[in-house]
Amino acid sequence: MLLNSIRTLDNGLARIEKILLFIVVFTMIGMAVLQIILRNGFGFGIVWAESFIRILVLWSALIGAMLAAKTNEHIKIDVALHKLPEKYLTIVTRLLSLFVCIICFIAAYHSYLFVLEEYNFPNTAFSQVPTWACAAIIPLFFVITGLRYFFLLIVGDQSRTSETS
Amino acid sequence: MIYLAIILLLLLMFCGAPLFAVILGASLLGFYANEVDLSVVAIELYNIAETPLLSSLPLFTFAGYLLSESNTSQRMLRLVKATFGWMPDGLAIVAVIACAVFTALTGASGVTIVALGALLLPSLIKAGYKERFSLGLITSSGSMGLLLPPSIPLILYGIIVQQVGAGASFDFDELILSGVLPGLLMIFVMSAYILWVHRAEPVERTEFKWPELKVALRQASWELPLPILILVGIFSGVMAVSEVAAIAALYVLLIEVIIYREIKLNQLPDIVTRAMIMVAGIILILGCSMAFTNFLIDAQVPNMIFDWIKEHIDSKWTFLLLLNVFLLFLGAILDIFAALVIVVPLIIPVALGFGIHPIHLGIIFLANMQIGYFTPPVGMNLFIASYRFKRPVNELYQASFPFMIVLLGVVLLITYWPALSLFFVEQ
Repeated sequence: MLLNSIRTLDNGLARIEKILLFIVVFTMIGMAVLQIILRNGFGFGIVWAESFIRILVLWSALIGAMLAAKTNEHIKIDVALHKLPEKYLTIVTRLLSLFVCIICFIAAYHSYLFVLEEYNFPNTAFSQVPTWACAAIIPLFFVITGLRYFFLLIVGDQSRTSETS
Repeated sequence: MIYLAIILLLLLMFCGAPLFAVILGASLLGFYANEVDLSVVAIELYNIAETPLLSSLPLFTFAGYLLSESNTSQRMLRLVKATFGWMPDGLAIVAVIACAVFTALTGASGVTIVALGALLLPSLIKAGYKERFSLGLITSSGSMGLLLPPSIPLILYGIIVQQVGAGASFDFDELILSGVLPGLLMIFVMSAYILWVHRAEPVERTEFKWPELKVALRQASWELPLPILILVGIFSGVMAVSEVAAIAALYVLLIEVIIYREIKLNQLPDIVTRAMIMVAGIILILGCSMAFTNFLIDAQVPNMIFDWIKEHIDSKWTFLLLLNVFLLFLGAILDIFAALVIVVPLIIPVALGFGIHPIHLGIIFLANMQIGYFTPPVGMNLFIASYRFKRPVNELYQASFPFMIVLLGVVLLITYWPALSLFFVEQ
């Protein structure tokens, strides 16, 4: 019951992430093209466009990486996994999930400290936007990725066990 | 204690832990041992937003995913067939060229075998090529074209080298252009090998037909400007690579959605998601690696590696040979982008120390990785081909082995003939 509600919540979250990703990528394309048109057609450009696009790259990467965590699609060396018998496979994949989970929570805490520091002594990322607002995605990414791997730890990674046959 | 943790991390890595977590774990461990504030990891990750040209990665990849979701592969194959099909062993050579062009345009995501393989395999067999030959040809051609512009891996290589610094400087245009000759050489040698195999029993040739070429040209008329747009965009110097990527993405989006109407608007969020999951994996590892690399540089590890190698190897050529062996092995176990991000920062100082040009190093790196795609045991294209053609991986190992030997020869040539890679570089 609880697992099902978590799964629903997770799917809802993934939906929001997909929409956000869509907006971020299209804004990236739009900004870059607009900048080229302004520069070549009208002889001026938006001063902060380049910085803004770079922030969008960071956001698209981290949102994409959150989604990759949902299905455990992160790049890995899985030679050994292919050779493992089914019965050890579940134990190993759970151990791996536990490891990712721990690393992510440690990183989440320290990224939170970084954002907090930026909040207390603000810098500007681009235009009027402070760095802490742009960097806030980092702890968020680690928390959500950590939670997703925690979920994989509890329920096991179905995608992998069925795939390796 | 530290050594125990390092062994544990290595064990986790080879058991299939996500690489970003392993690298992040290693950086956290290293900084902790050196009593550096661990927030530095977040700062390094934020550095992604300070890296120039990086937006070309998601944008080119998105354009590539759009192309592979539409019928571009069919139109392109028809065009290449109509243009080159009349030559001796035309169809097999067409297969190589078509794969190369498609990989160049879509990036090296293994999509070439999926998109073109199903069209090529039956027609190759029907034309009279042996099944095993055809399977090997397609599997090994799946990564052909990796070096041809816009070459997403080469762009990533350039970005990493710039981030590391290490005193290597070059123009991005030169870097991207440098892949052309080695890339063409691979296609040429593959074609020569095909002709050589069939020298005794030539496969029946097809006739060149103007009307067919005209139809093929008309069908692909909207996609044909794309490579030209990319080439002119990059080499005219008017735009940065990342801007060319944005225009390419917009252009492909417009033609596939509005003109060809092969991609519906409601498919777009899904395509964006899949493209970004792939790119995100790379950029995340890049971010985590930058933290780790900085730790290693602080700890003087690249210098130690260099000193150690210098002690045992004194010639540049021996070093290059060992580099080839190492990269082949690396390419067989690791995704090309992950390999670039993790290994380039470590070998660039060493290679520069041996007097190797950074652009030449990049070409050697990718040429080896290209073969890694179908090197046993885990070359990605072997599995994609196995899945796609419903054949055991073993059969594909054997089928692609002769092609691997041929391409290895080319890699050696590329390695020991720097002038080929540096033809466009102003010395």
